[in-house]
Amino acid sequence: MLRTVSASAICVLILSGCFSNSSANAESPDFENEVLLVLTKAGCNSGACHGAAVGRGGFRLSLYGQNPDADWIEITRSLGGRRIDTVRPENSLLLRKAGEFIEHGGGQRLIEGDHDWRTVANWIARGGLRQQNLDRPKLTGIVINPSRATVSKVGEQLQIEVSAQFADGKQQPLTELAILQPQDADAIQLENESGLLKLRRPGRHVLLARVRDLVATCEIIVPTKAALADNHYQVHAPHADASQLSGSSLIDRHIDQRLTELGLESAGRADDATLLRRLYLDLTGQLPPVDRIREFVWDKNEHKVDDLIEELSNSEQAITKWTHWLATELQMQTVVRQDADNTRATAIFSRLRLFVENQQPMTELFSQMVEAEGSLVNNPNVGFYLLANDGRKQAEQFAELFMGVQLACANCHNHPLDRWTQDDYHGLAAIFAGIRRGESISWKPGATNMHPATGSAATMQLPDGRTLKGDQDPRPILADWIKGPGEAQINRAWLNRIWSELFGSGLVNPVDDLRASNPATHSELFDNIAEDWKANGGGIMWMVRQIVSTDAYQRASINVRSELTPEQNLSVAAYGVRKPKPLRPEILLDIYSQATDVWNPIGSYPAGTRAISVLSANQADRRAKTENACTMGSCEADLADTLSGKLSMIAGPIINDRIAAPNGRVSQWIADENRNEDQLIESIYLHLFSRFPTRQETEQWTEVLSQVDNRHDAIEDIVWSMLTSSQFVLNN
Amino acid sequence: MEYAYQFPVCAEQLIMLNQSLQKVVGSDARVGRRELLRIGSLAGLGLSLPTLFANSAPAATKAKTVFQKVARSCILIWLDGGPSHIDTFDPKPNAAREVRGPFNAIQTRLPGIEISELFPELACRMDQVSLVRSVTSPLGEHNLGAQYMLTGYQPSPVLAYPPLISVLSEKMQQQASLSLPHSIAVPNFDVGGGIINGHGFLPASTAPFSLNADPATADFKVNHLALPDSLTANRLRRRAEFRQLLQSNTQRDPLMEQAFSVLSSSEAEQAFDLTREPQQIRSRYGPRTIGQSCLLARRLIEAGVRLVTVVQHGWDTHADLITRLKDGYTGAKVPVGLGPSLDQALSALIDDLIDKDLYEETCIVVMGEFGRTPKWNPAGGRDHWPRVFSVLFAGGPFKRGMVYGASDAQGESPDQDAVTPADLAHTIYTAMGIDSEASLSTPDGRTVRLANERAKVIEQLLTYH
Repeated sequence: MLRTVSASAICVLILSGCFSNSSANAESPDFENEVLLVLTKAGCNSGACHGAAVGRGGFRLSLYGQNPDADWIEITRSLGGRRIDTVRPENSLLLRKAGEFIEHGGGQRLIEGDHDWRTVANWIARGGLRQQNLDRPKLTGIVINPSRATVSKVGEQLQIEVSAQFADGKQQPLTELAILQPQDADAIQLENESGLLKLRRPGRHVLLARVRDLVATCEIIVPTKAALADNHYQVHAPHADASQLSGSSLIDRHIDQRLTELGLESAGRADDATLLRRLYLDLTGQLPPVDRIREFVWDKNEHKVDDLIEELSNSEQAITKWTHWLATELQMQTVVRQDADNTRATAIFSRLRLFVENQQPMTELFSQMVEAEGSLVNNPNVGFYLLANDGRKQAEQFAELFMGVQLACANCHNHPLDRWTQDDYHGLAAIFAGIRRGESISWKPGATNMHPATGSAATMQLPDGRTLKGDQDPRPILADWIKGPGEAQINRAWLNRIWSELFGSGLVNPVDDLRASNPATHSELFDNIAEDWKANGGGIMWMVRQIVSTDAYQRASINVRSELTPEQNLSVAAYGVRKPKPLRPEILLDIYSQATDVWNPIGSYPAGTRAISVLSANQADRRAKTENACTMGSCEADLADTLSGKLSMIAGPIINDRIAAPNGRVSQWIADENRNEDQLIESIYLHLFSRFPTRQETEQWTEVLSQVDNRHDAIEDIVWSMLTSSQFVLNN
Repeated sequence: MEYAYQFPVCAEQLIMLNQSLQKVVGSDARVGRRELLRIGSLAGLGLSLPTLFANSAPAATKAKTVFQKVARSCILIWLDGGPSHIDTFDPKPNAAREVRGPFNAIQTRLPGIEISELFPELACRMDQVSLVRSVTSPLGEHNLGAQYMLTGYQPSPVLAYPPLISVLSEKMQQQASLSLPHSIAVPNFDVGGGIINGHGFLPASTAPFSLNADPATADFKVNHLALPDSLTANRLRRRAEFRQLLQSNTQRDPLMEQAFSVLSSSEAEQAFDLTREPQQIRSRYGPRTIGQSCLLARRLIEAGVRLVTVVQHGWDTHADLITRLKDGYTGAKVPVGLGPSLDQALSALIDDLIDKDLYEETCIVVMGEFGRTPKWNPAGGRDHWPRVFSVLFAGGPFKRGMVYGASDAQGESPDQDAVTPADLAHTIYTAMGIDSEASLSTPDGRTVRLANERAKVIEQLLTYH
C-alpha cells in the first residue's frame, strides 16, 4: 500500500521523500512496480501455486514475479486475452478467480474493493499496459528500516518499515505489500500488517521481508536482561572504530560488542592444559607431546600462548592438517577412487600442500583449477573437473565449493531467495559444457548447454551477469573473474569455512549457503574480517592464526554433557563461552593411535601414516561403515554420537585393539614395574587427557588399583574408560 | 509391452474381474466413486477385530482416546526420494496417457478401488489397509519435504524438529526393552538427502539405531553386537563403572548406557540373525533390500522392539519409470523394480503380522517426502510434486479397507479432504496412544507441542470401540 505509515514515537525516520498516492491518481498503477507486488503478496505466484515451474490450472506465472514480461503476456494475452476485461475490470477472469466469484482452487486471495483489489482493477481499467510511462523508474530493491535494532527487553515492540528502492535512488514505503517472515516465529511476533513487531525471546533474530522477488532482512537484538534501560531501542551505526582494528582484535571487538548488546557475560580463558590441547588439535591435528605439556604449564612467560600459536601455525604438521582440511572441503577424496598405488591421492595432496604452504589466496588456487588441463597426476588442479560429469553439475560444484552458494534451485527456476537466475545457472553450465573428461581433461569449442526455458543453447555467462560470445575459450575469462569481481564472494565463503572449522559453526550456516536472505550472525564482523584477510594476503594460515588468537576462541568451555540453560545456549551462539567440538574422524583416529602409540596401516599406506596426512577414497565414503573403512580413517559414523558409535567403542576393534596391542603404550604401562602408581596415573593422564591428574583423581585410581585382583585388566579398563570419555573424543 | 507376473491366486481372480469390469462397465458407466468408497469402508469394518491392549493403554487425558484402540509398536516404511502417487496407490486410468503413465490400474479386493498394476499382491490385501489419497505439502525439495513429513512441522532455521519416530522413542522409553535398541532403522536412516540427524532437538539417544548394513546381502551382520572374547561381562560392568568415575554426577550418557545394556545380553544378536528364518519365509519377502528389511522389521517387532523404520531408497524417479518402478533392470523377466519388490515385502509383512497376532498392535505407515508430477517428463520419469500424494496405513487402530480423501482427475491437487503432513503426525501419535497436545521442551527453553497446533486428527481413519 503506497502510503506513509504515521510517524509514532517508536517509528523510525523514513528516508522517503517521493511518496505519491497512485491509486487516487489518474495514472495507471505500474504492472511491474505495483500489480506484481499485489499478486506476490496474495500468494498467486508462489511455488505452490501459479509460480510452479509448470504453473497451475493452465495459468503460469514466474516465481515471485521474477519475469515481468512473461507474466504480463500470460495475464493479458494468453487464453485469448480473457484474463482481463478492460471495459469491465470486475469481469476479468484474473479478479473473478482471485476474489473467488468463480471456482478457484486457491480460494479467495483478494477482497473486492480493498486497496490491493483496486490496484489490480485500476491497472486493468487503464488498459492493462506493460508500461504506462517509460520514464517510470524501475523497482530495484527493498530495504527494511531499521535494518538493525536492539530493543530493551523481551516483550517490547518495534515498528519497522519496508521501503521500495527505485533506480533513480528514491525510496517509497510499502510495508503493507511486503510479506514479513520471522526466521523464528516464537521470537518475533507480527502484531499487524503494518510492520509492528513484538519481541518474545532474548537473542539475535532475523526478520525477512519479501516484495515481489526482492528480499531484505532486519536483525533485531533482544538482551537477556534490560541492558539498555535508558532508551527504548537503539539503531546501530556502523562501528567506525572497529575498522581501525585488524585480525584477532577486530574479531573480539565485534564479538564483545554483541555480548554487551545481549547482556551476556563471557567466560574467562581456558586453563593452560586445555588451551594447549585445543590449539594442538585445531592447528596440527595432534595431541601435544607430553614434554610439551609440562613445559607449557610451568612456563611463566605471559606471551606463551601467542608464542605457541606462532610456532604451531608455522609447523609442518599445521600445513598438513590444513591441507587435509582443504582437500576435504573441496571433496577431493571423491576423485581418488580406484587409486591402488595412491599416485592420484599423493599428487592432489602435494599440490594442495604447496598451496597452503605458500600462503596463497583462495582465488589463486581456484583460477588455476578452472584453467587446468591434462591428467590428474601431471596436473592435480584438474581434480575440480573430475568432481562432475557434465556442465550443469560442474556449475553447481563451482558455486558451492568456490562461492559458498547453492545454485541447484536455479536449474529449473530462478532461485527463490537469492539473486541467481536460470540464466546464471545455465550460462555458467555453458562455460563448462566444453570440458572433455577422461584420462585427461581438455576443452573443445562447440559444446553447448540447453537452456530449459528457451530450449536452445544457453549463452555463456559469468556469475556477475556478463555474457560471453562466440567460440572463444571461456576459461581464462572465468579465471579472471575469480581473481577480480568474484574475489570478495570467494573470500567470504572460505573465511566462513575456516571459522566453522575452528568454532564448530560458521558465521553463516549452513556454511555453503551464503545469500542476502541468510545473513551472518555477525554481519559487520564478517564484512570487516573478509576485507582484512584480503589486505593481509588471503592465505589460509593467516586467517587461522587470527581466529585462534582471539579471546573468543581461547575461552573456557561449558560442560557438554549437562543440560544447558537457555542463557548458556545464547552465550554459546554469541561466542561468550565455548562449546566442545567433535573432532574430524581422521583426527580422532590419529589421536587414538598417538595416545596408545599403536599405528595401523591406513588403507594401502604403511603403518605409522597419519590418517590426516593422506587422502583416501574411503574418507570420502562417509556411508561406508565397514570395519575396514573405519580403520582407514572414515570413522565418523562409527564413533559419532549414535548407538552404533557407542557399540563400536565398547565392542569394536578401534579402541580395544589399540589397548591390547603388545607393543603399544598401554602394554608398556602394564609391564613397567619401576613406576609407582602416582607416576603411572600421571603418565596415563598426560598421554590421554594432555593434563596432569588432580590429587583427587590420583587417589581415586590408586584406590581402585589397590583393590583389583587383575592389575593388567584393570589398567586396560581405566584406559578404555578414558579413551571413550568426552574429555578425549571432543576438542574441549 | 506385456509383462508376465507371478500372480497369486487372488490376483488372477482380480485380473479376470478387471477384464470383465472393463467389458461391462465402460469408463462412462462407472459406479460413482463416493458410492464405492462407502462400500469399501463398510467391507473393511466387518473384518476388523478391535481389541484393547491393556498394558499399553495411554494415560489418556480426553474421554475420546479412552475408547480408541492404540498400537504398541510402529513400523514406518519410508520410500525415500518421493514415490509417484499415480504409479502406486492413486492411478488415473481415465486420464490422458501422459498423465496415466506407463502402468495400468488394477482392481483390488475393495470394489471400485484401483491401484497400480505394480502392486498385485497388495491389491489382494486392500481390505486390510487404509489409503489417504489427499496428502498435500508445499515443500517439493527432498530434505525440506522429508523433514515436514517426518516431523509434522515445516522446517525452521532456528529449531530442528524431531522426527515423530524419535518423539515416540522419547515418550515410550519406559516401555522399551533394555536389551534391545529402542528404535531401529533398516538398513539406515539416510533419508531426504542424508542430512537429517534423526533426533532434532531431542537427545541423540532418541534417534533410530541405523544398522548401516543391508539385510539382503549374504553376509548381513550388524556390527559390534557381541563382545570380543577378551571382554567378560564383569569387565564390561567395570568399564561402565570407571566411566561413571570420570564423569561428574550430573553427567549422563544415555546412548552409552543403552549400548552397555544391549551388549550385556545376546537378545539383540539373535533378533538380527536372519539365518534363523526358514528359507521359504525369507523368499516370501523377496530377495531385495526392502524385502529382507521388512522381514527383519517383523523379527524385531516380535522380539519387543517398538519402533522400526524401514527405508527403501531410490524413489526419486526423474527418468525411466518402467525400469525403475517395474523391471528393476533392463530386460528383466520377472519385474523386481521398486514397485514389485515393495509389493511383495509389504504383503508378506502384513500376512505374517496377522498370522502372529501382531497386526492389531502394530501400526504400519508407508510414505515418502512427496508425490511426483502428474505428467511424465521427456526422460520417461516424473519430477517432484508435493501438491497431492498418497500415504498408506495398515495395522494397529487404522481402519481396514478405507480410502480417505481423493485427488482430482489429473492427480494434481487434493479434490476432497485435504490432509497436511502435520495432520498425519497428529494421527500417528493418536494411533500410538500418545497425547499430541503434550509438549516437549527444547534445549533453548521453548515449549513445542508434539503435533502442530493447527493439525487435526483424521478420526475417520481410526477404529473406536
